[in-house]
Amino acid sequence: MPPTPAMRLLSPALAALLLASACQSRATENDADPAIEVTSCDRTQILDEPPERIVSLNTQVTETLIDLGVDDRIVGIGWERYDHPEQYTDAYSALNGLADTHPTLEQILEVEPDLVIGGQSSSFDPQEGRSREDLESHGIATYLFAEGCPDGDLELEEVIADFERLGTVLGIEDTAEEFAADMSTDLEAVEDQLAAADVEPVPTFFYRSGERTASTNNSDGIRQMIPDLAGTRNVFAELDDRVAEVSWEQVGENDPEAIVIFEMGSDDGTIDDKINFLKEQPIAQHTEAVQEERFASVSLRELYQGPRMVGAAQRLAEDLHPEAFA
Amino acid sequence: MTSTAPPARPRDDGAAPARNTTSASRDRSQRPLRPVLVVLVLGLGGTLLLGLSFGSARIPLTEVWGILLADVIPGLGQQDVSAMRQAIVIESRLPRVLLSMVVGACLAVAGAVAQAVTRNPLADPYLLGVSAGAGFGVVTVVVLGFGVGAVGAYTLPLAAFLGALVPLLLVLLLSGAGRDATMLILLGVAVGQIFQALITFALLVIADDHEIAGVLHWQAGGFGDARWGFLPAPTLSLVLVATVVILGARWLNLLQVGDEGAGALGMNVQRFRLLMLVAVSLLTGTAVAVAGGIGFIGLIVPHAAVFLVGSNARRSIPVAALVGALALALADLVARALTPATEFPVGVVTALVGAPVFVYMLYRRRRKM
Repeated sequence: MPPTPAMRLLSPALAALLLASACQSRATENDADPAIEVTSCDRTQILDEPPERIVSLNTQVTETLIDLGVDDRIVGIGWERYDHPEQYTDAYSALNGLADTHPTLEQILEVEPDLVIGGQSSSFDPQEGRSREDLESHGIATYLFAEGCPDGDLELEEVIADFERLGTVLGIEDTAEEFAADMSTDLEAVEDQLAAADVEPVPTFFYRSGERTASTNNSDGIRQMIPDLAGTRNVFAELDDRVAEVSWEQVGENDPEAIVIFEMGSDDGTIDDKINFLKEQPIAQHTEAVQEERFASVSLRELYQGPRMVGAAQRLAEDLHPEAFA
Repeated sequence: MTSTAPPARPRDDGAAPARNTTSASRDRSQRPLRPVLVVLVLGLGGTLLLGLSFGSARIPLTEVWGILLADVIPGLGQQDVSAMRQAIVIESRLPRVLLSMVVGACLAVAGAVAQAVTRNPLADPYLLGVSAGAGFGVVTVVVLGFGVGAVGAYTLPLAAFLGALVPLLLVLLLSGAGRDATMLILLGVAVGQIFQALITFALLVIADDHEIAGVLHWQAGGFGDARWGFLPAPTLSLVLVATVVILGARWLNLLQVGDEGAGALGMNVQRFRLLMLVAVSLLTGTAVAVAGGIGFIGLIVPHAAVFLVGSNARRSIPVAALVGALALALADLVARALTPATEFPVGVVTALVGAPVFVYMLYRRRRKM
């Protein structure tokens, strides 16, 4: 049922009221089908029943839903035309793509979802009229992955807990718990193998792109979690901004022993192009990393909170510390 | 670079004795040229030393000098420096300072010629749409992904240069090889707008955040990727165009009396203007290719040169070249010093510093009128 204007006006107040009385009502009324109350990134939603019409705004969300076996509930996805990893191509081909990037509010409303899930803070961009408030005012619940919370820094435990929480929302607690536990086990296995070989974290320069200056990351947020787990130490960990431009002189002064190149999912060059550039960059070519050709690559999409984190951790660890996997 | 000092000659020989006149501009055109050139060349030398000494990596000055000495005279100077620091000074800072000087000179000469042949004090090197065309060249690589990495680090410069030629050729074609000057400039503006619109479209509709950042970075201008290989093209075009322009300075001066006057004196105004505008675009194209869109140098430096030595092109163009070289090298120095960890876009510095200087110059001129 489409919400009437009056309901829209009332709904925030109603939500607050429901929130206040949630525990009470459950206890007193002995409801057979209790409402699902879920808080993601400080916004609480109440769902009467597990959502059946989901819009996934990001690829890592879509892939998580596929792995959780609920892709039949997806009524629309954003970022439809990205090069999807092989294991997901079949599942993706059955999904309804809404937009090449983030869908607009209209595109979302058109498929009448009951839940919209975003992976990053930009997924619910208020400037594009797609904030969580906007969607909720249309009576649509929202869920934002822990990665997208404004407070940033994430531990692996929180990520694992977030997947379990998502399972609660979707009414598939057991599947989600298993999924989260597997991920946790696989990632810990990588850590253990490096520890067993007494691997020291290698000073690493994370090269996103850029020729005049080099675009790199500091160590905030989930982007650093997987590389750190794979035995790296970001030489630019202390930069103020999450993504920052550094000069090549700074890269040279830090003399990284390894370089992890980001595959940005853009048209600005392949990994090989970027390696070739580094090899002829007047300063970068003298770093130990380039001299020893200790390169590894990772796609930004593998580092987002989603199932591809595991493969990325395994590959980075093997590429940068082959001796531990011999 | 145009280091040959042309003979200092008053603008209008046989005019009223200049020493007795109160006109500021006439005073300047009588001012001996040599001291001005000497001061500028010394300034360039000083800037070169500063530019080599400071950067975002803190290398002790003694080490910088050791590296330089060892490079100039093998066997002398500091021998035990790391290959890395040697590369920073010799392979990065040295070509960087030189490149900023050459590009500064290119833009200043281009601006001076553009202003002279259009008799428009607001004309700048980008008036035939060169900047927007170059930007579009960069967009085709960064956003649309054509020819990415084709020639390594030279891919973007090449794309920018080819892009810069497109509006130029379009304008020449549409204007019937430039028979009408006003038509030429209006077409330049129009074609430039089309390319600017295409850039905006590509950035807002096709590009992702990361690609947008890449293009904006390029557009803001800078020398962070300077290398020896970037120097030959702009240097060559500077030497070529500056020679032609200084040899043709007489005609540039003649244009000051207006098209009809110049035509009456036997000059083929249209052909000369066409040649000069093509020269401007080639100069700007090579500069933009290696440095990105750097504003204000081409607009303001020619005025500063006239302010210094008067409006005789034979005097003002070489001075503009040197002032442009000095201004851009200093701006790049500021861009590096402002934020030690990263690079400040040099185009932002030239605009932030250039605009107030421009306003001050206008203010001075108004008070004298």
